[in-house]
Amino acid sequence: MDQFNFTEIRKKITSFLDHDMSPEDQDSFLTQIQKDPNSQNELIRERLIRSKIRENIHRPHLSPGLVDRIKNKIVR
Amino acid sequence: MKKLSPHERFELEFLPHIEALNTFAFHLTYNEENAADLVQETYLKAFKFIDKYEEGTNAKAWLFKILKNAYINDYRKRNKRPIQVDYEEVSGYHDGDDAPLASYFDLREELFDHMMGDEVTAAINSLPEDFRTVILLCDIEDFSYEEISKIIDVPIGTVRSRLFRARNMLKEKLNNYAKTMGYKDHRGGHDDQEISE
Repeated sequence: MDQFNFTEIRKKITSFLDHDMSPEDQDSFLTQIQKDPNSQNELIRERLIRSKIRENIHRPHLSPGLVDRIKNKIVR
Repeated sequence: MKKLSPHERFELEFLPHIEALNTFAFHLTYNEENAADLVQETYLKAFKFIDKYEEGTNAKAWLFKILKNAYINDYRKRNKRPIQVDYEEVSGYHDGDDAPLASYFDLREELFDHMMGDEVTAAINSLPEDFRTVILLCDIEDFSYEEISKIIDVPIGTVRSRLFRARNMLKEKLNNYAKTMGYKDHRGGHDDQEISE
């Protein structure tokens, strides 16, 4: 695969993971990638990096009583 | 099908997103107490305008939009925090529609084995607000470009280009962190490697 195709595959992987593809393009991308183990590995790796970022970000605990405070402020 | 009352809709469709909203609010305000206030304000506004919400549509995106607007219009003004942009950091940034697609291709997964979690948070929080926002919405909350475009009120092309810059900045920060930790890339520096012959 030449550099142009390599760059194109990377663009497609990003576009696929970002939900920036039409259903038809998605199908064609998945068919294309099934035939190329190296592209598959790139997809797996990019997906893994994203999940690592997602796992590692700080998610503060909800302040105790926040849900009740909100519900109580909604006048019935 | 039975039509839900506003209170039922609020509980069933809106409240399940409270943790995601809290995380987003925290990374905008950098403070847990302020984040909780912002989340509360978001829910009260959502309830007030619940008749504008179309049942069964994208409640999460709608709530995120309310939160983002509440942050800009109320929180930031109240706290007298103007938008801070580091022009050095964003030089070369443009809002055009032709920016390349962004990725984390040059980051290595092994890098994360040496992280405690704080480094990712610190790296994201150090991004200028516009860039931080798209990373949070796309890479943390998994919204589509179209949803992000509606949440932050900018064209899809702008979402794409901001994301491109934001991911590059984040990659650079994480790589710098890796260097300070003495992490070495043993791949032999082949960013331009070919996937297959």
